[in-house]
Amino acid sequence: MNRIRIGTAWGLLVASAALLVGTKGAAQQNAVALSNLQVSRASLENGLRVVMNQDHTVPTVAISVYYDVGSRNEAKGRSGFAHLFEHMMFQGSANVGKGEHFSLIINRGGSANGTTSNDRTNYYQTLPSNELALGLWLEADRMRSLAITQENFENQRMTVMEERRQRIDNQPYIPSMLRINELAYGDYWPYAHSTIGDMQDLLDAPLEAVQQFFDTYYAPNNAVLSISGDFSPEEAMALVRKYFGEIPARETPAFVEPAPPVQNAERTETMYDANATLPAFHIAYHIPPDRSPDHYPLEILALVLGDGESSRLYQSLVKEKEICQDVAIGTDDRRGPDLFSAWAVMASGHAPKEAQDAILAEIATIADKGISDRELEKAQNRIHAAFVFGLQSNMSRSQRLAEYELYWGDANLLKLELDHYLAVTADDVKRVAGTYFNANQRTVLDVQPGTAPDSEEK
Amino acid sequence: MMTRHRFRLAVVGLGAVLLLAACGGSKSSGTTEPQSAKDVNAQAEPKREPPPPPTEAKNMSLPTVHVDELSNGMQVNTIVTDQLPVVYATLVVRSGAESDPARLPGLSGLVAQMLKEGTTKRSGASVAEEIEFLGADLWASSDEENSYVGVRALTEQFERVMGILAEVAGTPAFSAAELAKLKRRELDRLALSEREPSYIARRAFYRQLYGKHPYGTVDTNPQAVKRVRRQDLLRWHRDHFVGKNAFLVVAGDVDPDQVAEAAQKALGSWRAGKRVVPSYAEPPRPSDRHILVVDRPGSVQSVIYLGNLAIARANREWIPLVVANQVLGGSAASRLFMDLREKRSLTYGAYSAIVGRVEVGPFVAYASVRTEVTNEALGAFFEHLERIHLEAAEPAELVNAKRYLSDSFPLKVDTPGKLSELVVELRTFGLPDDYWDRYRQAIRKTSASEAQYVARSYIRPKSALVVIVGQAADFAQSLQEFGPVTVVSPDGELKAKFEDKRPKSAGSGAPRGPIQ
Repeated sequence: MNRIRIGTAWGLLVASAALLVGTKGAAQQNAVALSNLQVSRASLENGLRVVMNQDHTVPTVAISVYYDVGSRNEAKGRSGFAHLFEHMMFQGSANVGKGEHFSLIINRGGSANGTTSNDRTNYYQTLPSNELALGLWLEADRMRSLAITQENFENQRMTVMEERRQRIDNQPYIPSMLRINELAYGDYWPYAHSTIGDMQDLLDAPLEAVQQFFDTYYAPNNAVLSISGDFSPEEAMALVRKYFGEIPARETPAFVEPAPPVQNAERTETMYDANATLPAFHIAYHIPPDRSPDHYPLEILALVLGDGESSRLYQSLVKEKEICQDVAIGTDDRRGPDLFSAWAVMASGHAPKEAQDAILAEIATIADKGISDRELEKAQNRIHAAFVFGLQSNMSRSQRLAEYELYWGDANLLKLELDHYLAVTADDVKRVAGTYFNANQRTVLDVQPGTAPDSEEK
Repeated sequence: MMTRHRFRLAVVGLGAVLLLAACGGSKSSGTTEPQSAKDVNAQAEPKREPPPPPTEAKNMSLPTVHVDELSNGMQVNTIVTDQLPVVYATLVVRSGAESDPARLPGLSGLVAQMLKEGTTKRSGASVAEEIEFLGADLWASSDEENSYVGVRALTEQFERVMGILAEVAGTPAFSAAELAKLKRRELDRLALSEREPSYIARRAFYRQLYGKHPYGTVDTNPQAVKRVRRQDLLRWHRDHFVGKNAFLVVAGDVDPDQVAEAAQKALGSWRAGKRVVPSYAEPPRPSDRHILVVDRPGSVQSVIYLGNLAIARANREWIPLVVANQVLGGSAASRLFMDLREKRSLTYGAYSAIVGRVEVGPFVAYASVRTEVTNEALGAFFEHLERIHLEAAEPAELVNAKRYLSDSFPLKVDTPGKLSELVVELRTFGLPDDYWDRYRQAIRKTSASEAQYVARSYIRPKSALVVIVGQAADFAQSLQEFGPVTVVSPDGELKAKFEDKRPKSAGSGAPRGPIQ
């Protein structure tokens, strides 16, 4: 139990160097920390891409496997399948009994999990460094041969439905997090539907689809294996070849990107949330994908507006006017068409409209007058520091590197990511604030506590 | 991209990438499930290739903790780690919720929150702006034992952020206007928490388990928030934020002498004062089971908490008890998870824990289950709690539990922030200086009989408290088969009682008097 509340969840930020902070020597030291990141890349004949990052600080290794499949790849009527499938990956394979995947790792002092997002599915484990072989063997075994049985499948279907009840349906405001994407993305199915999936789709999912999904997406050539920590690259590569080398490559379909979402008029909706006590709302705007040139100044804009207690909107809405209980602004950082989102819970006695007007006005002000140099510098300093903190653990490094390799083709791009944020100017921020926030690109979802006044509303 | 650490609401983030973990479970070795005829793949399996065998864990030595003392008696602990140019500094004031006055539960938490709302020199906004401009983070919080003010920063900012930490911790303004704002935010937060079933369950569980003992209060309440005045904060701060009642932990790319010097400069002017030891009321010692159902109509799940008072953190039997708990419910490879989730599909996860406290902490088992299986799940919990002290763990289970606990230790020390937490734990609970150096060996030495013996002493299903938050109409009466049931509303209003209908043979022999 993590009873000491000091290590709270800082999001891992990919970040920028702000050389203006501190002494020159210190700034150089930080730049060194980043360029010292030992990254080597290799690939097997079957197309498996391997990223290795050595760091002998503690005797652990982190292993991540990223598959290029997420809920964006799901067909209509099969929402939630990528995630349901992820659960199946822990249910056994040719040489691993049902449930043994977890027990083998835990019982040797490791921890493991997997997650599914719109854009990818990942599996990861941290082990004592003497157990590197076990981790690689387990990942290879399920990449080669998943044990797919009706019993396992029914069991995991129930577990996922329970997960949905526990983490979504029974929690205040969480259903709105799903609804805003449906509304904003509209016909753009890959991101409009939820990763957890509809209950009906989960119920309808047939066993045959599991094998089919495995055959389609879980091929070595559709995956990245990333290892960080206390190991020797030569020994690791020998193990990787031994365990993964014989897994045959398969043809995997490229993700067919539909036409980007088109929106011509503002969309608004009010939903009711029986678990909520205070009104809340989402506002979403369409913006280009993560790592496209305008995405960087949009991220800085979000930081200036809503990151940290000294940000403009936190100060004005939460502290000065006291009309919000909390406010958050951010980009969602998707590989495809992205959203710039605002989310706020109102203070009691205040209606969403008050805060919505203030947020729109603040963006308009920045579009008109720009941001101060100090605000820009502050945002860049925060990004910079978060980047350095994000390098601390073997797990966070292995995940970031795997993601860069999978999404953008080269893990080393992570090292250069700083430059993109550093290059953002106050004018860039002003320009994007004036570009992406037209009313006809906006979706507003109000959340009211309680149940719909007239009839049942979905 | 956004940081979320200041978010107090239990929301997953901003709608975008909902990450869904598949924390799966496992079977203990030797309990192979009979496979159904449909399991063609499984039955057709050729001989299995065994996994790479376990190898010996590398030895690991923890970095030295350098200890200094400031002129006012404040202890300074420094750990040097130099792989990255970062530093964490945590000022720990050795008083938390257990030192709240009875009429103001949560006062310590309000004091902690108000520290960031302005100092005698400047506004909270100005402090936040400077911290954020430095790329640093500053937080203030409290728990049962302690209050914390912490910073993390790039090393080159160390002296600057130490100054800010000391300013915030030592010279808060406690401005009446800011307090009024905080009170409004707190009332809204509490109202929202009332809707969270796990919050309701946790609050009811601790209240019932500890009675008037300070651990019985897990959060402030609206009455206290409305009642609290600036004077209360000032007084609490004055009495507790003193040199002899505080210690500092600094970990990162720093030099111990530089830290001692910076600490003396920043915190050495604090009054020495004295160590404040709270007084504890005796918690209740129930002799029989009690099942408390908090009715939450419309709930799609039941949140189950059950447990009993167990052990103080510094007790020598802590380690064998943790081993026993690891067999029972400490992880996703433990019995509770394997059975309630993996085998019976009742829940997304079922666990148990021994909670470390200065005084007697609880043993607690918990799960969220779907409403219609509430009864079955509670039965399963009791089954496992009985079994853990009726029979010794299987040798393989014990080996696995111990290897997990000992060999996963390096994962607990892989950042300066985590190393700091271990030192905070040492000092808070008064553990020996070499505790963590010997920890892995102590785990490895635990025998099956020791683990069973302590489980028998500290895990007590027959006198356990059960708290269930859910739609009572669907299951409350059926729980009679486990013991006497009381149904209340979330406000504590009595709604129904159902008498004990345990089969006689399963009874504990304890008197079954009326329910209080």
